[in-house]
Amino acid sequence: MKQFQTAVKFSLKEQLANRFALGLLVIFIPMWYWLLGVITPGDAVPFKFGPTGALLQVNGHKLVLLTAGLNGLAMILGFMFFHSAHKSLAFDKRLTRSGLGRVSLIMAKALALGATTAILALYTLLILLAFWHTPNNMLEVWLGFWSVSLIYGAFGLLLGMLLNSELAGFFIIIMLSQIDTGLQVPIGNPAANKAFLKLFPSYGSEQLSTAGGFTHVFAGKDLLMSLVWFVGFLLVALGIFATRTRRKSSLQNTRKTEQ
Amino acid sequence: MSKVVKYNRMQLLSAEKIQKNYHKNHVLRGVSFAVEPGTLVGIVGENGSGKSTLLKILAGELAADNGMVQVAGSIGYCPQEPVVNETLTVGEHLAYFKSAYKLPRAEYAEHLLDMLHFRKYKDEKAGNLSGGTRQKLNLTLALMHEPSVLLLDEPYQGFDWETYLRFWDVVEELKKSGKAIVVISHLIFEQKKFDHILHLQNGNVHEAKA
Repeated sequence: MKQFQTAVKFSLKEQLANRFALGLLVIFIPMWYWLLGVITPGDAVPFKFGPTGALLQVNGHKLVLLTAGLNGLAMILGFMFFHSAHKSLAFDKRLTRSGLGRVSLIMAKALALGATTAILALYTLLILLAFWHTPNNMLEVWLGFWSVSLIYGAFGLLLGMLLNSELAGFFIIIMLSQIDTGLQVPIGNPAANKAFLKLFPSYGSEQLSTAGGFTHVFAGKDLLMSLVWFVGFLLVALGIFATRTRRKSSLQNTRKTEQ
Repeated sequence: MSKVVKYNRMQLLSAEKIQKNYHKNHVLRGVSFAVEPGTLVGIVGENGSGKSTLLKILAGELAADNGMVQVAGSIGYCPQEPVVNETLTVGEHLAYFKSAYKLPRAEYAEHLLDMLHFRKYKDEKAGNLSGGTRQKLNLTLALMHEPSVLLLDEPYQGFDWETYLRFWDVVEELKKSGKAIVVISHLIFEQKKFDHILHLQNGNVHEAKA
């Protein structure tokens, strides 16, 4: 338990030290809201709403604002956790070789991810309110923002432990987050509202935030689906980490000694 | 594939017929040696002779293709490139590894801060440290749990002369307390400090000084 607490403390500190990613959030998120908001008119667009199966007619401008928040968080949080996992892999390996439990370390990273993303999702929601004053259910919009941050944060963690190339990691995160969140928006997008989009990681988050923005329905099933994506990515990350930090077989300890 | 080695109670570390190939390059062709308590062994060799590969195998960082390593007790491995976290301070590193090693106190780490003369950097982030100070931290993290076997890869790289001398004071202390120490280096200046010097050449070790 002591190891876990120590690991949580330093994992949090590591995330908050990533000033570049935090700076990106501060500058990029408002700019992204503004830019996408300006170029998208408020005409009604059809949106396939998963929880009820209905085709909602929603304000295109506001829907794009929600997607801008989701997209910005997915990209920046994915980058943030990829960068830290990639950079600290050798150090984490050294820690586990020295006796720190691998599950403790991964769980500490997951907790740090949960806390960091919760705060940054709240920040993104607050900025959204400057552009759209009255979403129906702010908690649900925040849940949508938080869930996409968790999913892409865990995905970044996974890639950081898997890939040796930093450039490849950044490229994959940018491409996937753009395609994933971009395809969910039914503006100038022939693939929108199609059933296959349910298989995409950000589908649940888009449904949640849309439910919060335009309806009084709670999209519980979509929240659950998002959590499944998050836990799935986290388990894969744990598997990769366990494999990469395993002690090699030619070494045998003949007796336990003093610590 | 591993072979059974008869373990000698007087040895803290034994390597038996270690082999390692990288594709068709036979880096290690059956390296065998043992280190007794209170003994300092130097392993020298040209660049690319397989010194770091051998040390990684001894530390369990890398698997041998064949052969066996036996260690009595805990290992302290100091890699050639400092493995530290740039966002954490020196003091936070010590706290983190104290927790990892499950130490009640970090007394020896505190002692090393003084011995290696870098206590004044305790609140400094590792990312802001000079190469030499990062190496001091790297070494401290390997030694702070007072392991029975120390595997040090170019440990004094980047040290100034005074720190270099202090490093040997630390090694002398460790020898007196019965540790088995292996230092690898491409150049060994002070041969008299070593109990044995092994020359790694063509994938095998030869005793250069007994």
